[in-house]
Amino acid sequence: METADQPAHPPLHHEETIMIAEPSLLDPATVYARIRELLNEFYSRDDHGESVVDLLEEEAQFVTPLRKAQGRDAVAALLQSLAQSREKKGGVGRHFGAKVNVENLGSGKFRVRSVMIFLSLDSGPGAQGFMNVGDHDDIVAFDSRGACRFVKRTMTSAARFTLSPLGN
Amino acid sequence: MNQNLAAPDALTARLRITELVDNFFGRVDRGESVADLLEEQAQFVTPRRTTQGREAFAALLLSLAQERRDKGRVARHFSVNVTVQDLGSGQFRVRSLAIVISLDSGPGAKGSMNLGDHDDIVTFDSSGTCRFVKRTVTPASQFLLSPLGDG
Repeated sequence: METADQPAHPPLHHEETIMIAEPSLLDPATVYARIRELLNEFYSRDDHGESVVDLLEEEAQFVTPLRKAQGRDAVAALLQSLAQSREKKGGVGRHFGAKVNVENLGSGKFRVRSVMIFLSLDSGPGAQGFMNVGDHDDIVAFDSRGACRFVKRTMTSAARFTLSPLGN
Repeated sequence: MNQNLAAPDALTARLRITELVDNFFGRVDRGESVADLLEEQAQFVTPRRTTQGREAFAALLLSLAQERRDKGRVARHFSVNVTVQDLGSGQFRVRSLAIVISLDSGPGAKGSMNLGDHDDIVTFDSSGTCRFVKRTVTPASQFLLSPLGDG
């Protein structure tokens, strides 16, 4: 949880990223709750055009059928540029995750599978709405302080729909 | 403002707040009062209106639920992307995305899906119970859904 003084996912120095918490110190309920929090934070920031840089490991990867990025700054910059592009076109996009499954891989790493739903709406005459459903297969790592970040996010498209805008 | 005499740990606070958000919308969908989920001076702010006070806030939601029933409309509200920020003194900023799926009845009935960004304030009392101090919603987008008929 983020506090006014201390963010939940403070930026790490490189030497800290290799200090992975002992899995035995992390009880499954805490791990699950923190990973859910990480996902919510990621999508919420993405939707509002805020940087996700501190939610990513230094060498984090982001892989979708259309895009690939590697490195914390590159991934964060890609997502911000997509959000800015939507905003510039007058579009609105909202992501959320569901059906979050967590598998302990050991050494403080977890495989996190979830369904991602992206609802978007263009603007202007003839505007279209879309709903994209994708399967996420991600890797999350906990550091020595118990904070978790994405090591890799991989999304495979499952289904796409058009939605009719209802107007204001 | 309540004194935070029983400050929950971060994960407990998050779970209780998520439960509060789910409970709120569960009651709204069932047409039940949310009065006990609200602080006495709770505010409900939308682009169309501002309502202040526990009783007025709860009464408004009950009247909207009754209006839906009168029109033969079914609606389901739920929240996703719940993020929690500790503001200190037992208060938390809670941001979430609300999704409302609704379906009218009768010939030519239409369905809709509305998305709204919630930016709320929640407080914990000395017994560890949390309630809304303020709920602010900003519409994000609206979609038309075509009903498929009775399943």
